[in-house]
Amino acid sequence: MSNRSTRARIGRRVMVHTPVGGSRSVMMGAVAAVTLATLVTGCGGKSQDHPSSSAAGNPAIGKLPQATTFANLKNVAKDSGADAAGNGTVAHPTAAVPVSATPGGPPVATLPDKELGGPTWVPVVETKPGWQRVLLPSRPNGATGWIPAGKMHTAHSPYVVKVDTSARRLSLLKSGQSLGTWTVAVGAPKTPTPAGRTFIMASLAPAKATYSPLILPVGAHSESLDTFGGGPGTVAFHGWPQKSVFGQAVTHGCIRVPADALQQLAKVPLGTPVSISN
Amino acid sequence: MRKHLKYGAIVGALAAPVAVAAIVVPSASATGGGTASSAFGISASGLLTIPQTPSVSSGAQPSTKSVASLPHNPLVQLSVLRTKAVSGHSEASVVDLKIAKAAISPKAVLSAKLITATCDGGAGSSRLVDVRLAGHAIQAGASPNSRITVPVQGLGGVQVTVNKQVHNADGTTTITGLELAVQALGKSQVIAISSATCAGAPAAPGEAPRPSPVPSDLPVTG
Repeated sequence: MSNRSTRARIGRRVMVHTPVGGSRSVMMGAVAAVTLATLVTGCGGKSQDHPSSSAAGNPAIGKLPQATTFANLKNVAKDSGADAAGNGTVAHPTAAVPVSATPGGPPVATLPDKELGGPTWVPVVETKPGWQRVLLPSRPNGATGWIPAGKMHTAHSPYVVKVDTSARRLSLLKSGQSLGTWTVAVGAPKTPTPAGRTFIMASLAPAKATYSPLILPVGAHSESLDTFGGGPGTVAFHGWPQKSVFGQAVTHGCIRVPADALQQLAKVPLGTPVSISN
Repeated sequence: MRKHLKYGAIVGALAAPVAVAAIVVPSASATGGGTASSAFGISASGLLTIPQTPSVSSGAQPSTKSVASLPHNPLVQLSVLRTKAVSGHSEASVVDLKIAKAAISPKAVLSAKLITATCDGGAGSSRLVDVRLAGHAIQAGASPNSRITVPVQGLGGVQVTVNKQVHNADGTTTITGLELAVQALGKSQVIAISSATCAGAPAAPGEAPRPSPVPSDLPVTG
């Protein structure tokens, strides 16, 4: 299992930035980098202490890596992305569940019931008899896993979020109907917002809303930054104080959205598919 | 008197495989309670009882079973019975089936090259290949619960239901590829071929909840 402490190795490139949109790249020792980043970053506060195994009662799966935003999973199946939006089925494990690379295959990870302090919800992207394939919130981008059917509570999200990084546009749809389209800020050319199918992973309300009252991390991670501000390089939707950034490719991968877009996105259930194209 | 003799012969023939089948499959396993999936290749109830053979349930192992053939008997002949049941899905197939060939007449009452039943997420389908009832071809792509009655010499009307689909009280659905019913000695005899049961459609899950923001933070890629 990978976590932030192992990712932020000495000499590893660590990015920090300020709320005004300026950014700087620094090379520094891991401990100093994490400490400094935590103090000065405008894009996040203290990083999460991700939970230890919650696979209580099942020692076999307790030894497997947890599929959280901090993990870099090996031997998982890549998302084919055949149907970008899926059918809206989202799933919540009520306890840690084993994740296999193939239907019926041996477990390669576990999906915990909590993610960043809230309930884990993931989109179901494929179903086979007795098995459900879900998108995972871990690296590498597009990581998927098969979970035995009946192990998760399923629900339906009528929402779909679409981001066109070239057009710098975000669209929110509910039951196929547009709820709005907004001009947003996306990743800069050297730190692009990763394209592909992901999902809204969590809804966080920082104690100090330095740049946004709400952070909506998604399952995807920056492809160019292994770590950011002490975090694992997780991409997110969030607001931004300066409206001038909207329409620009200036972020480290996150998608900065106007306040009314954030207000609408706040209502979108966790696990809802997010389709990012460029 | 002649009639009684004929029925007696039929019942005798029907009774024959009971003991044999009981040896092959000691007991019909439970269908698994709750929303478990289950399947079996053949069963009979009435004057003749054949346990569900081979019976599988998603709540037990193994999840698949195959039987090459039933022991030799004058009533039912077949080549392969195959069943499978996992959560939310079950299937059954019977190959080269002949029923009551020797007991009734030189011609089979019912013959089929293949009869299958598949249940997936509470929705079912069946497949019939070259099925003939007393020489009459039965439509392969029959709509659910299609029923025909054909007079068979010595048996009267033999009723066949193909692609039978029943929604059970526990929310499961049962698909039976073909069910044959006949009145013998005033009692009903039912033989079910290829039956698959699975949990009712989880197709209409409730709407996912609106998230409650967690008082927390994560350094994200701004």
